[in-house]
Amino acid sequence: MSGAELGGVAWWWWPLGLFALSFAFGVVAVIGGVGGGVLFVPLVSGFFPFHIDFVRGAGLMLALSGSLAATPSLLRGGLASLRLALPLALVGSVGSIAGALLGFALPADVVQTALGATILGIVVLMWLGSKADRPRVGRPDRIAAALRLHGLYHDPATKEDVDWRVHRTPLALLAFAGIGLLAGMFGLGAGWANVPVLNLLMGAPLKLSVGTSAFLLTVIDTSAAWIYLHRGAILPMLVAPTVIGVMLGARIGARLLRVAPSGVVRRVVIAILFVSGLRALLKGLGIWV
Amino acid sequence: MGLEQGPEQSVYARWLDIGARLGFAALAATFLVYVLGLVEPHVPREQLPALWTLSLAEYRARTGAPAGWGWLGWVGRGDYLALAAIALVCLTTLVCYARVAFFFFRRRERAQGWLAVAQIGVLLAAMFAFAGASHAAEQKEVPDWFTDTFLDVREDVAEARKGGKRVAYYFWLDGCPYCRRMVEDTFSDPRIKARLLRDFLPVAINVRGDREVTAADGKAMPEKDFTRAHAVRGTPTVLFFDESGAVVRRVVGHVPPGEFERILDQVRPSGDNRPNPSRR
Repeated sequence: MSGAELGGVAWWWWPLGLFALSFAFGVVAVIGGVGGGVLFVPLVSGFFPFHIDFVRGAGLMLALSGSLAATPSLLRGGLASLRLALPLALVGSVGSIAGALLGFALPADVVQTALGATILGIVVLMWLGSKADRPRVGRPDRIAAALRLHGLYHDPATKEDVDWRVHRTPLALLAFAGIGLLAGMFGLGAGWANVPVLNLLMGAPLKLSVGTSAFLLTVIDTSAAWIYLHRGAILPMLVAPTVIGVMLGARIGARLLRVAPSGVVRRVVIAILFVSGLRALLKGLGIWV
Repeated sequence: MGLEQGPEQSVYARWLDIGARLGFAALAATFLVYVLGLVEPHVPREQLPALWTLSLAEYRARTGAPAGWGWLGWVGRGDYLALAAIALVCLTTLVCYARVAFFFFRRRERAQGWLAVAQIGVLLAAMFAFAGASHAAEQKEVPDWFTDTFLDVREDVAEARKGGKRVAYYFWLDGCPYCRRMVEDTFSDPRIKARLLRDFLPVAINVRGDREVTAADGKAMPEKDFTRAHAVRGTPTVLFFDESGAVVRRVVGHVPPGEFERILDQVRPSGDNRPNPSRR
């Protein structure tokens, strides 16, 4: 469908449709254990008439809003660590600014192709799905020791106090520069990358990794969001219904979490990601326009 | 309840909670104002479906949307009022970091304090330094003095002929470094600008664009197909059309001002004996 054909539809259908779609993303994303942004950007840029510049802007705001809403309670509950996030967020936000600038400097089809390749990479990462509840950590590295990157949190599920520490901080800093770059360039929330780096590379417990990842998104995505905003890539008519839809959907998703078959939903999410990643790749290459 | 989490974490959580709630409430309220048309937007809502299919550069060229902090002066319009609420959401992190940096220094945790200060610096750079840079870079994709027409070759040629001019179609690509050089180096030369405005109707065509162009034979097609139909294989390319709508000269690649001026001399409208301002 071309933009011209769809241009005949009354304007108010679009925010309404985006709201409905984002609401569904919100529900599915929570149950499937992914961020809404990673679903939103490839799917909407692949199958809707909006230019990818505006979709990336909306995706970034969506990821940012979701993490802003979730982070206060995660911080209060000790499931996100400010201390651990400080150095990683700094490097990640420099990367995200660079990514945002790069995304605007590159031709749209190159960005679309790279987005497709990245999404397919995420599909592989999700399919393999390796994670460790409480990884073993040897001696903390110098940076981790100097910045006191350790702590204790109470896990209400197991009713245990969990002592945590991390290692391989220099490698993680490097990884976060790359994650920031991708987040800024494509407007994706980067939970899919944050969590494995925190959990598998640094050795943070899984729950702390998920919580700290949400905190990191508030900082990394904010940095890139200013570039998008000043460039004019944030269209309130696309952003507002998307943000409101996802946040309401996520509330429903959180309630359904106990009863929904999360394994099935996760497989559906992976399938959706695969199709939308493939679509983005083929669209970018000019094979399926 | 968290254990061994410094009190700075609770402070951060409290400020973030308040900031995020304020931001989202402002976003919902201003969006309602915008979508209900209570405050007139800059871009009419019904025109948006035809505009958001365009690239950012084209959208900005069509709507005259400001870049950098220019939007602040437009918050009296519905769409920019909602954008201001989005900016408020984006401000939350900066405020929280400022609060927590103060907290770290007061507790003599200098390393954390400096990390927070560095983060504030990065956020401020994103807000101010790069806002200006990106604006300057984007403005140079197409000079703002190029003519915005309905992209109908027959109409453009007739319009140019009426003013004793010829049509110059400039084929460009978003992000193409040679196009940028063409704009920065050649089109920004005051003599070239004066010559192009006096003797030609300069019109920009995005080689990957989707705007509809009507060719000389009356056939309508997107910009990208029009580009292919005229065998434009590289950017930048300038095609000069004569008074009958035929291409009389093709200029490929970045051409320095002196050479481009000589080309303009060769292709300017015949019978034109107005003095050349650059040769005075």
